[in-house]
Amino acid sequence: MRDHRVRILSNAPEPPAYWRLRVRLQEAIAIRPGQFVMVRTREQWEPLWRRALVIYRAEEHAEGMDLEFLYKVLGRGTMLLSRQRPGDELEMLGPLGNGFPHEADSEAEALLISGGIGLPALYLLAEALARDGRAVRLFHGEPTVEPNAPLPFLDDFARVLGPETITLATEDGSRGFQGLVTEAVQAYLERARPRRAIFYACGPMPMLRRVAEIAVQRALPAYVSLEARMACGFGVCLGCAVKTRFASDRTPHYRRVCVEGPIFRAEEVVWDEL
Amino acid sequence: MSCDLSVEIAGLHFKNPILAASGTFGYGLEFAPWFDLGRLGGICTKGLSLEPLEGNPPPRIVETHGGMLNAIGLQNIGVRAFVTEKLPLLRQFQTHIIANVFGSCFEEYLDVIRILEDAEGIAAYELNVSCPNVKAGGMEFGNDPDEAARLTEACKRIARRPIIVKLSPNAGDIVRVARAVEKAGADALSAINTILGLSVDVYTRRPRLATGMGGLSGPAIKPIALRMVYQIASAVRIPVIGIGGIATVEDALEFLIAGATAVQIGTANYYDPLVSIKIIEGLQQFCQQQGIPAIRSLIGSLQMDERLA
Repeated sequence: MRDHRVRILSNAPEPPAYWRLRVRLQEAIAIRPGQFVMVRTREQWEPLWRRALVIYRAEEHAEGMDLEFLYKVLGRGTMLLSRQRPGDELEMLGPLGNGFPHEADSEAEALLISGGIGLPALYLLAEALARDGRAVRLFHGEPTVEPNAPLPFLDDFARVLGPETITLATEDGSRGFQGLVTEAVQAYLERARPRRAIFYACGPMPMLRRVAEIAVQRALPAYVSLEARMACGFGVCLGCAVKTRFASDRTPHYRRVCVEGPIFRAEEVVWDEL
Repeated sequence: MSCDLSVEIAGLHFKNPILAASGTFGYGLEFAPWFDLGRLGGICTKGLSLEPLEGNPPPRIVETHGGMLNAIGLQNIGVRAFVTEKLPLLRQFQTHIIANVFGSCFEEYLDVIRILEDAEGIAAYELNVSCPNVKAGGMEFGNDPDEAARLTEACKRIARRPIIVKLSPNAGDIVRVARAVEKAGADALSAINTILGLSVDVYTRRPRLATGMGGLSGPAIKPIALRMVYQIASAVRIPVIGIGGIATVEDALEFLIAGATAVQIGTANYYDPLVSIKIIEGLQQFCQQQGIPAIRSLIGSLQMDERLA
């Protein structure tokens, strides 16, 4: 991990409610799927903290490496980020966090489950699983999507996984499956009855909690990527603590989302204390 | 010509006046991937208690304008684990390790220090007196000059290493506490700890921190910290280490000029792990440009009209 100075290649809004940022690093770095960086604009004083962005896509080339991020403008930090233009520089600490484990069970179908801005955590994983020849499906949920709007981020996944493996769920039924993404997953499991399956999920806390419940009910392994307020991202502020119970623990312990996570096994998380 | 950045505190020679503040620098080792820890003047460890502490439930931090509130709850691995797991690695770096110590009662402070006394590689102790004294109705040690003095005296009696008392801005009169602990034998002071604050979620009408209130840190508190350091340094003879919102070379210089012998960098470490190195290099550059041969000459050089002071 290093504090990389990167140059913005593009930074533009994208339907239904996101921004896509592309930056260039001077060198190629090793990245595990699900890892993140802490970003700030150069010499930024306000807001104080960097913002955590999961690495969405990465492309190595002769001049170094391009990284892509999808983000949502939610507050002062992401607002400031959205005002940066091509050619501007960012300071980027990373890569940080544990990343998704390389799961040995190659027989199991990998079910990627995302809600809203949780999606970008899953792209590099989809790419890695597809490269390994694994069966992969993506279930993505949005509150609402305009019926004819292009959805470039789903096209990204379609190119890697094939369009037939992608299910879009909208809460208002404006497009795709009507209902919560976790209901779409349940419907799929009932219909297709895969012999073995593994969940990889990132999204809002209620969705992750539901994914964890389904995993327990069906005795399926599940990995969830958690989000928490972080002042540093590299393990010293202790602000991002979540209560977890590892197999080695007699009692639950606080662990840092930024270092021991952001990826946890669903059964390790003490959901009632989040 | 290069400037001599070294300073003396409690008989210890610091290669430069930039120290890492307790609670923002882990056990030091977390920063080893970022730079050579030996470049720092010193490192104040995460606060150490007799037994490990789990800390507070989340949310533990919230960002505010120019700063942040925290209620981490003094989470730490405990003094014994520090001595066996962290210190052997940490003492290999050419910098002063200052063990930050706290307890819920007098005896606990003393027990922690006794364990550290047997360990090698510690330069001094920093007493965090901003903790509730369980045996005195939860009143913070540092809010009462007499309690703070009694604690200092008790620690001083058993410690062979210098004692730095870290003062709380939440005390009614921080200068009185400073004078009291100086009289009780403190070798140096550090100031300030975080300022008690509150942030509210207007939709839920609840505090944004799980514990309600928390400690404010970051650039927002710098003018208050600077004022307090100036007042303390003017009132005592022992060295004062300035803390509070230092993020730039200029911030560090302001504290030195106001009377601090050294400074600690805290919250800025979070958004820039290299900030201390940048400040050390900046001090060198500033002094060279200004023709200052030794940074010591800046300490307490504030030109304050006596009628204003």
